[in-house]
Amino acid sequence: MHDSRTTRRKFLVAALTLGGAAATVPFLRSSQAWAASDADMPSVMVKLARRLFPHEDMADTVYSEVVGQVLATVASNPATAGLVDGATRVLDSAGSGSWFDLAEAEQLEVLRATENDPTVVGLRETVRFVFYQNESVWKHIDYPGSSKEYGGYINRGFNDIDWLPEAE
Amino acid sequence: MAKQFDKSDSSIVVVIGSGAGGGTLANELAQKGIDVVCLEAGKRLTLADVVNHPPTMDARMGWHDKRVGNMVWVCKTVGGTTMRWSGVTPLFQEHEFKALSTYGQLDAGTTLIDWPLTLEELNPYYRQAEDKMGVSGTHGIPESAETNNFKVLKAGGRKIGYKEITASRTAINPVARNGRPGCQQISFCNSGCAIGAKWSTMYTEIPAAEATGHFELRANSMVVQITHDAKGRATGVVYKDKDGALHEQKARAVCVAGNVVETTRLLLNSESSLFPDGLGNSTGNVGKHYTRHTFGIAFGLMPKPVNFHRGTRQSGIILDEQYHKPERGFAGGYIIETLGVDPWNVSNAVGGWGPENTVFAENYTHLAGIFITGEDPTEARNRITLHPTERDENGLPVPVIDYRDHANTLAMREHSMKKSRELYESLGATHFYGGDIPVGAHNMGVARMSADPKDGVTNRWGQVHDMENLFVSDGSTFSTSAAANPTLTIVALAIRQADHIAERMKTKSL
Repeated sequence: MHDSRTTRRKFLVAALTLGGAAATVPFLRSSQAWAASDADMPSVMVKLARRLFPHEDMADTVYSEVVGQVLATVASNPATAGLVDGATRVLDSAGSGSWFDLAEAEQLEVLRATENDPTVVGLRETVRFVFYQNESVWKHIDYPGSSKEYGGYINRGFNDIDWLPEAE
Repeated sequence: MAKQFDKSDSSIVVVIGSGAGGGTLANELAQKGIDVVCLEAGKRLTLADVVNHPPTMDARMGWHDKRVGNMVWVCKTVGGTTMRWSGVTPLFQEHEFKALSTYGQLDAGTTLIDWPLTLEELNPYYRQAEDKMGVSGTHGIPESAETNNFKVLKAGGRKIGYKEITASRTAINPVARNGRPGCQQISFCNSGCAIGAKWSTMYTEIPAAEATGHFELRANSMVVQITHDAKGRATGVVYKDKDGALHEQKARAVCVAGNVVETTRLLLNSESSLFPDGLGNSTGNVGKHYTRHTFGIAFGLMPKPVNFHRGTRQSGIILDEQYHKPERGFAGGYIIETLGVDPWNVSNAVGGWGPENTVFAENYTHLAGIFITGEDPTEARNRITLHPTERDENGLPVPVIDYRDHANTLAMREHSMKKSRELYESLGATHFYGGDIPVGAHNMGVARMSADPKDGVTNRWGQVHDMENLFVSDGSTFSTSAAANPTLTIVALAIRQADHIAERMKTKSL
């Protein structure tokens, strides 16, 4: 299939993270009235990150760390500085009230309804990129990171699998 | 050691690009005593610049200039995309040189042709390329070690009836050879090999060429135009250095190996009153027939740990599906290869969000991975053009890449994903993801070799039909895509082209 959504997603990530010439993220200005939550942006973002990438046993502190990095990342680039406000505005205007204050089921419904919105996509892919580069996240999923400084895996289990059926 | 040539020296051969095609061609010519200037748009890295972190290396060596349309995934650095390539070196099969004769034209949109050369003719050059690159399991080189990810592929492959399964045929040293060390199973070879166990022109062909005294590498040199005289003979190139200053280098012959997008742009951007549609484009084929393989990616969530981050990313292949078996519902075949990627690439490939996405990264240690590369029919509509108005930071027209999968490609991908699922489920996989990789990493076809000039841009030696001393030396010359990862064939064709150029220089016909 030619998945233009995936292409756009990757394009956005490239734009966001590499600061390329194409670093322009569409910013949707909703004319609709929207209801902001009283919650501060980091709290909204932690909830959002958990709904998007729900690792059940992962501590909130890890999500908070990721959110801190996301907020710093988007703020550092004029092309993405409005991304968090823009995306949460879309979420807030798509449900029955501020997204943060909705029940979980409706939060998910709003995320499904807005999942192709360019601003929401931009924010989601930034979160994905930062989240899965984060060392605390890596620790949670048992990915140890760079192996170069340990001499690779030549003597550390590259071929240690022991549960496969015996070859005939 | 490294020589310096005068810009007015019109006896030299200019090679544009230092990757698989350009780097190899330049070294082969220099070894024969032919003077070569190699112009490379990217900078020269060292092994110390290679870190084991894919996003960092993509920023460091990826080609991120502005493009419109479909994404491509290539490098802008000395060594070109051989810094990134996986090292997998399957051979073409005989029928893949005869796409039109074997498959017939698939529909009104496809533009299949037969290659103007045969497997038999390329075989001696395949052997030289294998030896040069150090392909495991050939030329007395040991077999590659079997990684966990490969062992899963092999066990599942056997369970569903596959026979041609090997961890070898990869240009990654199993043991030290030719001054390069054996593989340490560091992983994510696509970030560049930090120890140089994987063949890349950056630390093989380029320094070997420099040692001849017949070669000069100019990095940070972006060629913007190929010049020619009133008779249509190439006379040199104009390039921009890192400070933006323009230079002209005279040449006896010019060889273009910029990888498909840049090769197209350079040929089209060199338009003149003599060649108003661009160089080599008198029959309108430059940029057309752009093909990038049937790609696929699959993850199986296995019942117990695999740890596919330990070891070579693409550490083995299954060849049973490479044959042309029309009863499967599509023309041509595909190759099943292992794939191991970092956590972000897992999440990004699966796409979407929520538990259906997260289950894969959550169980990162239990993932096994497959990469599919298969034949993708050439079509006139799949093409690269230049944007009429948009310009990049070099003042060059921005390339516009227009590629859509053919129905044959969709059917092949679906078949490959069904087989991948069967393979992993035969070993108890609890979850499976299979899908497309909508990125051009294997770019081919835009200056293809054709027996008849009306069907392509270059002749059987990669010489532009319209110009006797202008050559194309990268994957652009592939007449059709075949299934195999293209690098080995690019290298074999470059060695063959060097022989041809040397012969013509000897007989004064160049």
